[in-house]
Amino acid sequence: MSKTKQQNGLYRKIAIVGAGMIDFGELFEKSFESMVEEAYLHALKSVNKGIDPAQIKAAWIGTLYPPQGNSGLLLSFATGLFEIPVTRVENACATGSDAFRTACMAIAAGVYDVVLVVGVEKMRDDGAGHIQRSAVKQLWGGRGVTMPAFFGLHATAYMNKYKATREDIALVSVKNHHNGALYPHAHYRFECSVEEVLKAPFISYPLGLYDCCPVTDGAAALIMCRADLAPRYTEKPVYVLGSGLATDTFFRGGDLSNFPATQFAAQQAYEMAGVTPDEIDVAEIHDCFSITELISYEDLGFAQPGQGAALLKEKRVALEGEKPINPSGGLLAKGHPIGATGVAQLVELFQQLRGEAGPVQVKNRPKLALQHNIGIGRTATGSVACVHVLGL
Amino acid sequence: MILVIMHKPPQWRIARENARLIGYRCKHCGFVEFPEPRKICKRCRKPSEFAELQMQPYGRVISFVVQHRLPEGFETPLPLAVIDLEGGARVYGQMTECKPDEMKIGMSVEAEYRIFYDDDGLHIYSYKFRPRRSESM
Repeated sequence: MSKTKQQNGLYRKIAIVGAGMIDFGELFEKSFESMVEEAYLHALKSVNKGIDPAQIKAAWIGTLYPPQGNSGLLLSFATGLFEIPVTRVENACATGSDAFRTACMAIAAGVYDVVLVVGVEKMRDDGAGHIQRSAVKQLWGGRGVTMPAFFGLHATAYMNKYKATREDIALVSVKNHHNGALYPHAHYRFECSVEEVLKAPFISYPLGLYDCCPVTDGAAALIMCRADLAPRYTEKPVYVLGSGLATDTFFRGGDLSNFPATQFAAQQAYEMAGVTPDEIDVAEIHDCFSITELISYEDLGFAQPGQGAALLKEKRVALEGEKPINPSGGLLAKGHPIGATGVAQLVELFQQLRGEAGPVQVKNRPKLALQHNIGIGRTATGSVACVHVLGL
Repeated sequence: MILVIMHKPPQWRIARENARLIGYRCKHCGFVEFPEPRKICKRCRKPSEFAELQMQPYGRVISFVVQHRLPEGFETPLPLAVIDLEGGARVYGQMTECKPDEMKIGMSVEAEYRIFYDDDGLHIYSYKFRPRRSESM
């Protein structure tokens, strides 16, 4: 690792000392608050030297569609953390990552020593789906443009520009379902073949059913502190080295073969961390749809434009590869409970860096990890991406 | 102006631009804002002046999908596209009178004013797109 660290950045000012999540899935038996409670208890328990909840001085909750009003109170009711600042964060599918990022800023600013971040989403209770409904009564916002359509538009453009095929894109789904079958917290734990991906019913051509993540309930939690205090809680802290967040809209231009928001966010995070894409050992990338992961290889600098599929064909991003990507099975297998997603990615990378990832532990002794979370907002007319670099 | 019954404020505010394809061109960078007039350009990010622009109902497909799963009120499979209007704005375009296998990146399309959806019993009108006539014959 390297170079001049940005004096004003986050570099090694923040340590993650606890991380936990619940098993994702269709959780009709668990309420929103019981999911938060369970994830929080897992995070508390993971702190090696223990932690008294009274030491937590502020908390953030990332959730897109809270069930009972939109305030941070949901977190207080679930965790008993009253009498301290508790704030709800929302930023489309990057909600969980931005809750984490906001908490990092508060520690870096020197205001709080120990904080909690919880990401959560209860998506299955409402059969009609929050997201699909937004596609209906719009004039120029994109009537009929659903989430699969937004990413499918990028798939069509990418395939056209680089002569890529649906088989190339399907390799993402095959890899992630392979990993997800091993991952204890995944919603879907089955493997699938390229043929099965290709012959599944179309959702939004060119994306079929197995190109899409499931609709999932879930929650995940992180406990962070000022880096110099980390030894009080654990001998194996994971440090936050860089953070970036950016927005974009293709209505400004571009050919839809990439996600400029990811490029901007990654540039900020790499610069803050003083690392290059080549140095990243393991990554959790936002694969809401198979095409999103493929394009993100290129936006994050892991592959040249149009060359992303080679990483899959050469198995360099497989679990046993040189740069494993989505060892957790990604959103495609694990599920995508919106607010929980970014936090769960960070939970997974915390465990990977500490060598505690169990059946999906990567074998390359990772020292640097990257987390990437992208969402769309403003009725599918804009995108927001968040990138973090973590290290030992 | 075409008289359109649009009784809700969000539709009423852009009724003129929506019905007549009126955009607003940034004097700094040429970007066309649509449908709402603005004072800051989202491409060059500058506070700017904007000149009213009568856009033409012709454009080119930048990318597309074919929707197979949509809520009630849509006929599927439904092609949807991102369209650059000639000399105008980039817009989402719902296709009509077009089979899914006709769709191609780069194809020419034309805008047609149609019933877009019903809202509390009133027809809401806007533009759908179809393959451009001169090229589709």
